[in-house]
Amino acid sequence: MEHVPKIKFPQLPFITREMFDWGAKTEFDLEVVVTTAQTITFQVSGATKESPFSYNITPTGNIDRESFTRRIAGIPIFLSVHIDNTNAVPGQMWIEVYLRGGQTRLLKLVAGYIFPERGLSYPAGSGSTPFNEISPPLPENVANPAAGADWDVGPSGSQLWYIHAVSCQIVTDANAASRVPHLEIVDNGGALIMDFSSNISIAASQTRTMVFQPVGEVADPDNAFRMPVAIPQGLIVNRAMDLQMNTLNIQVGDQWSNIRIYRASMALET
Amino acid sequence: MKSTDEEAVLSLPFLTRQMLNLPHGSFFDVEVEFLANIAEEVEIVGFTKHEIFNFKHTHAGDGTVETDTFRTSDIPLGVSVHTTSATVERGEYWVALYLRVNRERIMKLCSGYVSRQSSIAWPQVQSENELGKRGNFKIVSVSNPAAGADFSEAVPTGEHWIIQFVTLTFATSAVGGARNVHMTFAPNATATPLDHFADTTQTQNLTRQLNFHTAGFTSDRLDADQVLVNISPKIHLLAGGLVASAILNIQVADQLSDIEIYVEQFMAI
Repeated sequence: MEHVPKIKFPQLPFITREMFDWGAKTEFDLEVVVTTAQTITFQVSGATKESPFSYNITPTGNIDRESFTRRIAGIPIFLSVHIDNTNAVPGQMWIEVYLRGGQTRLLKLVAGYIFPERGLSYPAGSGSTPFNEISPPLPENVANPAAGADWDVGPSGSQLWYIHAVSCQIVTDANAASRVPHLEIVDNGGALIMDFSSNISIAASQTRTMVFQPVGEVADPDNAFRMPVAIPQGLIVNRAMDLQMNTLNIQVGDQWSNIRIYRASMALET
Repeated sequence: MKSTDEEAVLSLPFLTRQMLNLPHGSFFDVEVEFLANIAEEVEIVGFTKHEIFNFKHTHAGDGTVETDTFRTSDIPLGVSVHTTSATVERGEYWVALYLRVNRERIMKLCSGYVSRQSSIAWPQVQSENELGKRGNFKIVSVSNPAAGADFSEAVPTGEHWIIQFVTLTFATSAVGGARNVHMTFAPNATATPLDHFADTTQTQNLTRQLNFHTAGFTSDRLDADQVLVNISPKIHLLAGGLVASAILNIQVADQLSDIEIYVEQFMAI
């Protein structure tokens, strides 16, 4: 008579709790960690052998790193993290998902940025996006400072900036002086890290637009109203730094406006 | 004829020691290499068919390679390395895991930088880095040298720097002399360095800031006290590499100060 073995568990192409000596009494959870300044709901969904699951998670958006735990019936066979809301900007919602067993992390399942064009999946999918960058350049608008004052701006607590360009406009008052704008990088204590300055000065009663960009060479300012200044390509400003304008010989009625920082921004924990 | 238990094991969709004809008494462990310049703890977690394991290791933070081994009951089916420390930055803590049988490495499981936001795992999962493959951007503040002296800053053990900027303030004394500030980058103390220097000299009783950067352009000196000097992009320095000034005609009471080096930092053995 042919031997027919008693199989403890079915011959499945995926793992289930029954296959492990420790599996029967173990409770499984997903630990979802979010780093973002955005308050936008995203979905974590998938399936175990026992059931599909789907959770909507909404971060508070003002917490640098926030954890959510969601109970699942077994070991996930599939898992996906995705978002439909087009307000989710690339580079701004960083998600990590861990499988927990008995309240202990067992395995990292996925980690990465999510936005409508891309999600995360376990097992790993191709995960490609319509563009290569982590985050495309988006403008950061800076509020106008008071007349006679310079401006400063920097990444918030959970960000890092990859600077593409900085543009800003100055309208000088009637006081005679040779203003020289300096774009500076300073640390959070105000110590100067780097200085980029223009090669022409600005006299009284002028309106000029400064453009700081990685051109490598600056043309003669035939159009004196637009003043290019070279900055390095791939300039990184992290949360320990600020960008600031320091205008040599600024006068009391000089006014900065239309300040735009064209930067990719990545969500980093503090 | 196989026993019922053996048949059951053979039906599993993963590897266990019972499926292999290893010598009696063979044992498995995970060998982990750590390279860090920060004294923080990482956890190595995972599971085999028989157990959930959780091991911990705290590096001395001295930039040297440390190795630890952890015995496992069987072949790991999943393993991750993470840290709960918020002080570890990406680029500071490198970890590599190997599976060993009878103290012989049989497979590299995974390797990479570990921070609270980035961990590594085996089997391979969709695990990205929050900054792509970039390192840790940090400002290295250098102590003022003595009056009349240049400064020199060495890359610490275990680190790999890519220079972004160097800035400093140079105040000259009343002694006459045309000083010229050179910024040098050398792989060690004996090699001929890369030498970048200003195209203007600095006479007595002047305080100027010199900015060495990669913008590729030097503006006219409308503001004479701000000197821009171009340096090569992507200057790589390994441990023992030197960033140093070499000021031509420096005088005894000249003083360097506010020296800041902005680097992208990685780890390297």
